[in-house]
Amino acid sequence: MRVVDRLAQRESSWRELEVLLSKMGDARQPRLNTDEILRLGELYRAACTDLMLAESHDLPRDTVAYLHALVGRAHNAVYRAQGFRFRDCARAIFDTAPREIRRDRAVRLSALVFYGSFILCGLIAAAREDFTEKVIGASYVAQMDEMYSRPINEARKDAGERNDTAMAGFYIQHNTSIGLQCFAWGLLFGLGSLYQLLSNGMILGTVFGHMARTTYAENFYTFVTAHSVFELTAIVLSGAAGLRLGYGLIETKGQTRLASLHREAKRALPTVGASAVLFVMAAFVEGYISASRLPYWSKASVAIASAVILALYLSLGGRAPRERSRLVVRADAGSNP
Amino acid sequence: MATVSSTPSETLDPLDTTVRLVTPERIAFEYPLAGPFRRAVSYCVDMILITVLMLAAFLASLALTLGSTSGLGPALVAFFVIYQGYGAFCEGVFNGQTLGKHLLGLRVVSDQGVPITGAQAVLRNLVGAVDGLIPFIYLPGLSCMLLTRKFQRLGDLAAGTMVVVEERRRRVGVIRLREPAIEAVLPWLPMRIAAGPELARALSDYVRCRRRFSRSRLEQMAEPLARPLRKRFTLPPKATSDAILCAVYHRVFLGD
Repeated sequence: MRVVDRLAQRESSWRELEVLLSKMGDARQPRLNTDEILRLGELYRAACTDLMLAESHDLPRDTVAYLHALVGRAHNAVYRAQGFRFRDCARAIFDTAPREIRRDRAVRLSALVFYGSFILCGLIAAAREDFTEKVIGASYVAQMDEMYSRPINEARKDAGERNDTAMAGFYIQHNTSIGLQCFAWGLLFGLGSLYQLLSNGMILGTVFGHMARTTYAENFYTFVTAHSVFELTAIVLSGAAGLRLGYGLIETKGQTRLASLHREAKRALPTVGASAVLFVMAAFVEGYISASRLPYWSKASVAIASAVILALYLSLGGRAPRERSRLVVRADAGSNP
Repeated sequence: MATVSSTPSETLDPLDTTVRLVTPERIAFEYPLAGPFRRAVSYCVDMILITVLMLAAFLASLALTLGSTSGLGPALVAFFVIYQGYGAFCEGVFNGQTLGKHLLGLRVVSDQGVPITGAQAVLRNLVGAVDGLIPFIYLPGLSCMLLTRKFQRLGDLAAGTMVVVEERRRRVGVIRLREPAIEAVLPWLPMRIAAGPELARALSDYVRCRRRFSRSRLEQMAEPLARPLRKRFTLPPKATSDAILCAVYHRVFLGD
C-alpha cells in the first residue's frame, strides 16, 4: 500500500479527533455527549497506533511530527487532572496532618529549636538590659515601647485609625505568607527553615523578655495571650514541614535525591496545610480579640480554649474510630483461615 | 522510533528539547519542553492578571464597606489568596494550565507525563517562592532550569512536574511535484520502490526543503544520494540529481 493511500485512509479520523479536541477545549461549545466521548477514546487509540506504525509505514517527517502533537493533545484531554476535592483537602488537614505531626521527628526538632531560642533569648533579655538593643535594634525597641506604653483600652479610645477587620486581614496576609515561605525555604537543605525558626524564636523571645523589665509589661502580655497558642504552634509546624523537605534531600533512603525530595514534600504538605489554617485562626483572634477591650479573663479563656482545641486536634485527630478498626480486624481474620 | 523499546534507553535519545512519554496504551510520543523564554512570557501574562484581580478585589472590598478602613481587611486577605492560590488553583482545576500557559500553549504535567494532582499543583507553586527569592530576582529558578534536562525550576523539582508545549500543528499532506524534468525521469523507474525508513525520511526531508535552495546548491546536496540511485536504475546521465531524488520520492510516496 502506498503512503498516499494510507494517509488518505487515516486522514479523516485524525481530522475528526482534532474537531472533537477543539470542541472539548472550547468553553463556549456544549460538553461532549457520551457517544462523542467514546468516539474520542477510539480515535485516540487509533492515532496512537498510527504513530506507532509511522516508522514502518514510511510516513514523512511532517506527518510524524503532526501525529506526535495530535497524540499529545489527545492524551491530555483523555487523562485529566483531578483538581481539588473538598473531601481530600479535609482529610489531609484533619486526618493525615495530625498523624504526621505526632510521628514526625522534624516537628520535635522544630519545636526544640524555636522554643529553645525563644526561652533562652527571653531569659537573657530579662536579665540584661543591653541584650535587647543588640538583637532587635534600638529603633524597633523604641517602637515596641511606644506601642505598648498604654493599656489597650486607653489606646483604643483616642486611636480611631485602628480597625479590627483591616488588622485581621493584615495578619492573615502577612503571617501566613511568612509561614508558607518558611516551608518553601526548607528546600535549601532545611537551612532556610532553620534560619526562620531561629530568627523568629530569638526576636519573639527577646521582645517577651524585654517587656518583663518594663513597667507596662501587663499591656503587652494582655495583648499576646489570646492568639499566641495558635500562632506559635503554626510557626513550629511550618518550620517542621520545611525541615522535612530539606531532610528529604539529605537522607535519601536508597532513592535518588529527587525521588526522595518528592516523597518528603508530599509527606510535608498536610502539615503545611494545618499550619496555614492555624495562622489564619491566630490572625482572626489577634485582630478581633487580642486588640479588643475585652477584660483579661476573657482573653485568657480564649487562650485556654484554643490550647484545648489544639491539644484535642493533635492527640485525637487522625485516629481511626474504634468500630472501623474492629471491622478491619474481623475482615483480616476472615481472609486468613 | 515511536514504538516502546523494552529497555528504556535515555542515553540514546537525541540531545534535544523534547521529552518522550509513554502512555498507558504503551505508545511513546514526544513533547517539546517549554524553555525559560516561553515560560517567562506566560509568567508575565499571569502577573498582569493577578494584578488586575487584586485591583478588582480591592475596589470591590472598598465598595462593599462603603470606603471605610474595614475594607482593607478583606482586600488584604484577597491579595494573599490570589497571590498564593492563583497558580495552584488554575493548574489543579484546569488540567495544568493557568491563563498565561493556556495562551502560550503550555501545560504542566508530572514528569511521568500523567496529569498533575492537586497536591503537586500546590507544591510546585509553594516551593516556587524559592525560585524568585527576593535578593536574587529569579536567578535560582532560572539557573535550576538551565541545569536540568527537562527545564525544571525548583518548584517543579520538588513536585515532580515539568512544563511541556502543547502544539497544534497544521496538517501538511504529501507534497506533489509536477515538473517536466522530474516527469522525464519517471519512466526509467520501476512502479514500486521499497525504500527503507531512512531513505524515505531523507527523501521527504529533501523534497520539503528543496524550494529554499538554489539550483547549483541542490545539485550539490542531492549528488551523494543520487549517485547510487543512478547506478541502480541505470538512469540517463543528463537527468539532474535533483530530478532523480524527486522522481524516486514520487514513486515511494505517490506511486504512479
